[in-house]
Amino acid sequence: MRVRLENVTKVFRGGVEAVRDLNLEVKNGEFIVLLGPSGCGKTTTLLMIAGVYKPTRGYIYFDDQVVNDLEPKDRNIGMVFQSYALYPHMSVYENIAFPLKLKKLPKEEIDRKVKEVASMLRIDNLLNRHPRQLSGGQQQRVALARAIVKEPSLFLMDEPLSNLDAKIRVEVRAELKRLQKDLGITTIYVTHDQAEALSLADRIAVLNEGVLQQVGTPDELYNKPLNTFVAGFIGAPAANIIDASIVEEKEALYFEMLGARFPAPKDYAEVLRNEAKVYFMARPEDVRITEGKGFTIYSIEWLGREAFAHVKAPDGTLLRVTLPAEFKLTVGQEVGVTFNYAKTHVYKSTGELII
Amino acid sequence: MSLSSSEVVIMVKTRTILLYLVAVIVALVPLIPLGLLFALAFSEHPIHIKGFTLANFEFLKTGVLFPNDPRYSKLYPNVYTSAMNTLLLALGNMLFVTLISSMAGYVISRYSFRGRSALLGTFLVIHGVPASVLLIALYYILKVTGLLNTLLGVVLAKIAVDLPLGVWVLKGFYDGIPWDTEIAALVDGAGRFGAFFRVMLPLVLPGVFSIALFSFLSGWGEFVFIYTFIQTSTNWTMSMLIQSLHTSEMGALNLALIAALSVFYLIPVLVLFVFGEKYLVKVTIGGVKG
Repeated sequence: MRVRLENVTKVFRGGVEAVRDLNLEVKNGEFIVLLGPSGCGKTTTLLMIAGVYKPTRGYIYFDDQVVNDLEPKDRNIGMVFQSYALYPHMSVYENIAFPLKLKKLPKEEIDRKVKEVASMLRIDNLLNRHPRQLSGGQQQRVALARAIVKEPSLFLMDEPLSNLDAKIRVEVRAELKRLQKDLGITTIYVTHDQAEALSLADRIAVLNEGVLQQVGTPDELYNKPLNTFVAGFIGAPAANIIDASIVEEKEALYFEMLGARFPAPKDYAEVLRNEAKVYFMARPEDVRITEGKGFTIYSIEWLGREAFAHVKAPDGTLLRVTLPAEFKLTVGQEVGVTFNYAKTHVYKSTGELII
Repeated sequence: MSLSSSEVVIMVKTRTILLYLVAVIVALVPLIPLGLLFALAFSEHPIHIKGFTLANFEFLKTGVLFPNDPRYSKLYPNVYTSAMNTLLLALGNMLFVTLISSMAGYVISRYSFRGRSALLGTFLVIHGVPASVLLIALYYILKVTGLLNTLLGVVLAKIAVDLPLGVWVLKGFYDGIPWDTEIAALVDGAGRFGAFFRVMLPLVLPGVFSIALFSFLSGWGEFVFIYTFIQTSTNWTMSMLIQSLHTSEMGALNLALIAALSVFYLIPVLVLFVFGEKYLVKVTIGGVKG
């Protein structure tokens, strides 16, 4: 199923605007992640799609039908929650059977479907237990089974992995992605974890303060963030976003930043000539350590595959830098810095991408 | 210095014994008067505990008190009539308080509407008002509505007084259920009512049970409203009947008979305690399990 949001706005009682003029199209079978910090409106958006909240303005379409006034029960949605939201008074079997019972399916069919889904998720040995007797990972599987068993046309997932241990989380993450591809069900997934978003999504929609910042593939978001918010939010360790002034001297253009001066490459110079104050963005892997003076190594963490360093600029700013593991540096050592300009970006002082 | 295992066993044993000793002493406080009551109920002498007889329970056969003194007997209703009235009051109170508060508690917990917090505050204040303060107002209302001297009038007044606590307690139980659980039910295909009856209500069942028990016992033990609003003795409840025997001006006071009636009056309470204890413990310790 295709989902389309058209100028969707949600204002809560008391005037809090949780989502503003959201336009988003989710293609059939697509796995889309709504990503943003807490309070950015992503869960509100999800609950509007579920039909729990009604949009204050705008329209939500399932395929070509406006569903604004459709009750949650009539939307054929499977939903998974961070808290799992299993029914504590029902056994695992009853939990999974619940949506089917509400559909008034015959008993034998319910039984067959429950067992089928249970074996698919490897929880067939837990059917007689109650949720409180299960581990977090097992509860998560039951919640998934309950969402899958009704064969929904849309999956909604609200941070379903956040309560799991780090190790299980990575396992379930891979499994979830595989499952979604196998079932081919359109999925809208909410998280604040950018690594999770990058690993799961076909496309990511980044939200901040109720406003959509950028929609794109993980690759687009990582390599060409459209504004400083997306640039800073995606990627770990976080990108360096540096205050810079553009200065022109003898036809040549320079970035004056970090207490030093960096010549701007030609393609940058063409578009930056009329700018004064900008943000220069460089991901940690796009900062190059050279022989030179002015910058000092502030700290180094050896991470096995690579090393992560903080480098202190002449003006005191700390730059985040990732380096090949074999790169030998010592704390306190004086170095020079340059950038991989093919990958860096420059933003207006208001935050929009220039180049 | 470490203790040998036998020393540890002795210490644990001493502690257990001490614990039981304290428990017995605490239990004696209510048990002694209750024991005296039971002894008196089976006593041959009307005032002192002496011997053992079932004579005081003669009324159980026909429900008639003082069958040997027709003039005196006429002053009192049949015991079974009073018992039935008591049961009706208790069940009526239980039924309506439980029914209304299990739904009102849900609405107040889940929906935000104008005047919600004012309503909650009022509930607390109303619950704090002693029922005897309301007697004049209630008397007037019952008189105007023609419900004075009827059991229905007392039931309604009782419900009004017991309801705030029920709503308040059950609202707390509903508050304890995460929103996600309810949203899950809605998305799974339940309507508002389906989500309420299939998911929310079963999850607050311990609370509903405790409110049912509380309001049953509250109705069963009611005295002030009966005393004030009921004149006709056929509309009396057990509490009123027993009280009236204390203040009788004619003949000698028969304490043994009063004790026997009291034991009869106590039976449902004891039964409920024995069967309900298991659930009540669940309520106080377990609550809603997540």
